[in-house]
Amino acid sequence: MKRNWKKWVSAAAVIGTLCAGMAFSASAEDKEVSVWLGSWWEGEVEWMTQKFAEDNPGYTLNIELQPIANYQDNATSAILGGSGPDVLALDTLFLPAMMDQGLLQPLDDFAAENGFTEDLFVDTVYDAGRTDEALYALPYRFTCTSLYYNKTMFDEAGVEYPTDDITIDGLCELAAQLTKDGKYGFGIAASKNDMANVMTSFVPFLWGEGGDFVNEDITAGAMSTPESIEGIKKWVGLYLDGSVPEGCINYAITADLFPLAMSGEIAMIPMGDSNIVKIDEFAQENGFEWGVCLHPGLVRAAGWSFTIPSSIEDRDGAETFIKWFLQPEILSMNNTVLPAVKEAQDMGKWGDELYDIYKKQADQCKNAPQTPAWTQIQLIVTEELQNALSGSVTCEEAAAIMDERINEVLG
Amino acid sequence: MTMNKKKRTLILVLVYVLCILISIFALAPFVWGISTSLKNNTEVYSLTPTLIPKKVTLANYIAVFHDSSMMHYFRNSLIVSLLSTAVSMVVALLAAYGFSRYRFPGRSAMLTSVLFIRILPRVCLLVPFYMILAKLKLINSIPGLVLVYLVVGMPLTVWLLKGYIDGIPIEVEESAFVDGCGPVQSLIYVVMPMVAPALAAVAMFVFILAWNEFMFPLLFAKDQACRTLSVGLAFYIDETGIQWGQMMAASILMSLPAILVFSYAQKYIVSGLSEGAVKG
Amino acid sequence: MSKKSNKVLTARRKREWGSGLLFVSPSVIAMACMVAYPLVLVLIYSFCKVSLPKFDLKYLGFENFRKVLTSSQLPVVLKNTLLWTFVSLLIRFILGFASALIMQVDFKGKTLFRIITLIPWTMPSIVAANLWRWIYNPDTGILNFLVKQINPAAATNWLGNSSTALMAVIISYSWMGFPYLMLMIVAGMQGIPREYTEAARIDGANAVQVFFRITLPQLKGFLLILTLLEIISGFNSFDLIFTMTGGGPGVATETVGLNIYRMAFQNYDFGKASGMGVLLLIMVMIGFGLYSVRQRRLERRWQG
Repeated sequence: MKRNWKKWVSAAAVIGTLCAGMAFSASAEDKEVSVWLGSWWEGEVEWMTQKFAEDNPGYTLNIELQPIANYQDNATSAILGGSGPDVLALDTLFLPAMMDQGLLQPLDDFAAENGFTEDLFVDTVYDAGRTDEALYALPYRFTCTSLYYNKTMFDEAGVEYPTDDITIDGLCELAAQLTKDGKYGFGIAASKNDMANVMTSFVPFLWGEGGDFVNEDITAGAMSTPESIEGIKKWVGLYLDGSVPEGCINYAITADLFPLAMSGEIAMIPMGDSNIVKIDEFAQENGFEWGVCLHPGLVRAAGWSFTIPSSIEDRDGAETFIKWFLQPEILSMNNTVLPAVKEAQDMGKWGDELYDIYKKQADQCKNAPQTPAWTQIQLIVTEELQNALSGSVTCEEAAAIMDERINEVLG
Repeated sequence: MTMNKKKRTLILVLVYVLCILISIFALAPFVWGISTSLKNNTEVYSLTPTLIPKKVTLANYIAVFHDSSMMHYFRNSLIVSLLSTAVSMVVALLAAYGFSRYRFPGRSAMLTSVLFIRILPRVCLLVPFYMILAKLKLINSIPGLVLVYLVVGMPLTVWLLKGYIDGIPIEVEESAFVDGCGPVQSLIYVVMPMVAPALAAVAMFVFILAWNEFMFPLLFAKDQACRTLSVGLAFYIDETGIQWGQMMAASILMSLPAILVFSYAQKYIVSGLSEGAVKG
Repeated sequence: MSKKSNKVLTARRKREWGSGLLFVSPSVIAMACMVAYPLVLVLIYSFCKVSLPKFDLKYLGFENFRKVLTSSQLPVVLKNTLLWTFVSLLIRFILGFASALIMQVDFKGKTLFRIITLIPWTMPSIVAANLWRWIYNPDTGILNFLVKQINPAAATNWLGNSSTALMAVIISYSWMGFPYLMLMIVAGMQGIPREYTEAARIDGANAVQVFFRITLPQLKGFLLILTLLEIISGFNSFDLIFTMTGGGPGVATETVGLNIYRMAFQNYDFGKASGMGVLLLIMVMIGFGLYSVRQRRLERRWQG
């Protein structure tokens, strides 16, 4: 027994010292501001930390990079557990549910005091952070997709390049024309493990035909309207006609379509601003030329915004950071994401003509319905679209089931 | 005990065939992973995949070695895994011995509730665990993770060891008692050597649990200081796609220590097998 | 086993039950801290509507359970979960047993085999899941590439076809998990006193008879615990499926574990997620209870 006691005491001592050690290492004179950003911000951490300290004496910046995998649960658990960051960057898709659940703090007063008015930002991303009650998020990043096309493949097929005024029908036609010899004209994303991608791929068709997920006051589903069904048919039709790879039913845009396009196997795909810089490397290796034009229909407006979690009591650090980083001069210094602050879009590397297409596309953009039920609607639509793709239901039947299930959720 | 030579050859042939089939199944994805890690970016996505890369490049491995944070995560993973294994083995062995050899009030209730940990969905444990660790000030700390793994592993470690100890005849300890051994000494000198195979198996289980676990360190130990390898690997997946080359290189490098540890520990399990092996 | 010494030992043990408690105390304390609280929370939440961020509760009675049990997707999800759990368990057992038995034989390359069979287990699941997803990719994956060389018609969309998706994921899961079962079986086999098998051999039994009459029955208790634990984890696991198919196409690979995750962290419905958790608990306890009752009946029959 004596031996046992010794064991426990020493174990407790070890654990105790470790804990104490952790506590001691956390002392600082400056006020530390912790910010969560996605892992792709790695190259920016150094200059941001330095410049923030220079511009804001008395504060230090601690950027904690998080992987995209499980980002939302990660953030949620941290906030619920009471130890979230001062500033939390969130994708617009995460916002509706988190706003509704009271996980974020209102920013109206802060925005008013610092002159962050609506017209400074790209309107779609700004709207995503607002509910009828308050403003919860200020956007720093805007992103959308445009239509990338492989010029060499078009040349070989003897087809004219798509232009900015291409229509949805035009796109479907080109896709069919370019599909031959084991290569495909276009690609869609329908994988259930990345539903945001599915929406990005699908909505241009849905909205392009004039349809939508729900009615105006978001009380019922609207997938069974003739316009919506038309959109579904055109998108699903691409798959059933074989103009897109067979694997699309389980593909995501960046994980699967992008590599295929880079290897010259697909002639056109929706491409976002974060991938467009990589094309040249691949184009040269694989010997092809490429171009971009406006994506037909209305593409999904996406982006990231800064929020302050509800677990933060002292907002001073958070507000200092947001105030500082949203200045166009500072925001445009980053090399990673396209700014959502309009002025910043013309500064730094973002003024390069490479990004012009996205600024144009910003006018052909739309937000997903602003409702906390969005994640469930997204799931319902993805599941039924997959059923339609696999042929187990027709498009009309899929639409009817979608509306039935959406009404259940909203009702 | 002689065996018909024909029979022996037949068995050997069967064994070799099975061996090869199972090995191919086990190894194939891994080999594909290695092949990927030796390719450069553009070759990785080629439509005619090749097993042997056209242009072998060690760039991915070099990048991983130079990545000081990867090395740091590796160190953390190692510490967490070894510590968890040690703590779990000690606690579980004590508990298994207690449950097996003693009867006390509340015994069956406690035993069954150990199972509950496993039945409760992980998801339902995430937020409560977070809150408890926060109260104990063990968030973002290695001891916090060790505690989580100890608890999560208990259904297996305790139950398995208990089952094993149950099977050890009590006479063995009897003689020790006659000689004046107390229960602890009996446990250490008599029971433990006999439980060695199960102990080694349990140790491996906890090691791998701690080594591979993603969600718990992601949520509870995300600080750079104590981040583990599995979380570090997730960083190779970002919105520009999956950096296959580097991710595979990192994950293969990181599997090596586990493989080494296991080959060593497995000796304890199969040590006695040579005596029981088919003679011929 | 002499009954007399047994009695002596048990008598002493009965007196010293305090030591027993001491032995189990560290694990019980850890459990009390970490598990009792979540368990209570889950039970409470399952009867309430949980509002974040303060976890305000509103009593809902059996509403959460009703919603779970009347969901139109429940039959498919249950079916998938059962297939996922039992088929992968079967495959893992077959592979594990085969490997364990092979290890009993002395042959060249045994050490290499030992190491090779451990490799799938050492790969982190996030890497393994993505790797397998890529292997199954119908356009750039190595599997279809190889299959097309043999029989182009057989190359299908493994993860995108509702008839093959579940099986494909099951195979990946089995690949990841069989080394662990193999290890456990080997460890269990080690506990079988060698005298039993030797005696049987002397009596003229061949290898197959030894396996079925001696090895298997001795391993029974051990294997049963293992099976129970694996069944439970099969019901709860979701990260492999989530990465590979997200539960699709449609609901072809949607399982209970995945559903609970979705409910909690995508729909933020902690009440419903807890409800499902409780239902799972009840199911397992019933299964466990039935098994114990049957065991006791069998034992009584044996004792006449």
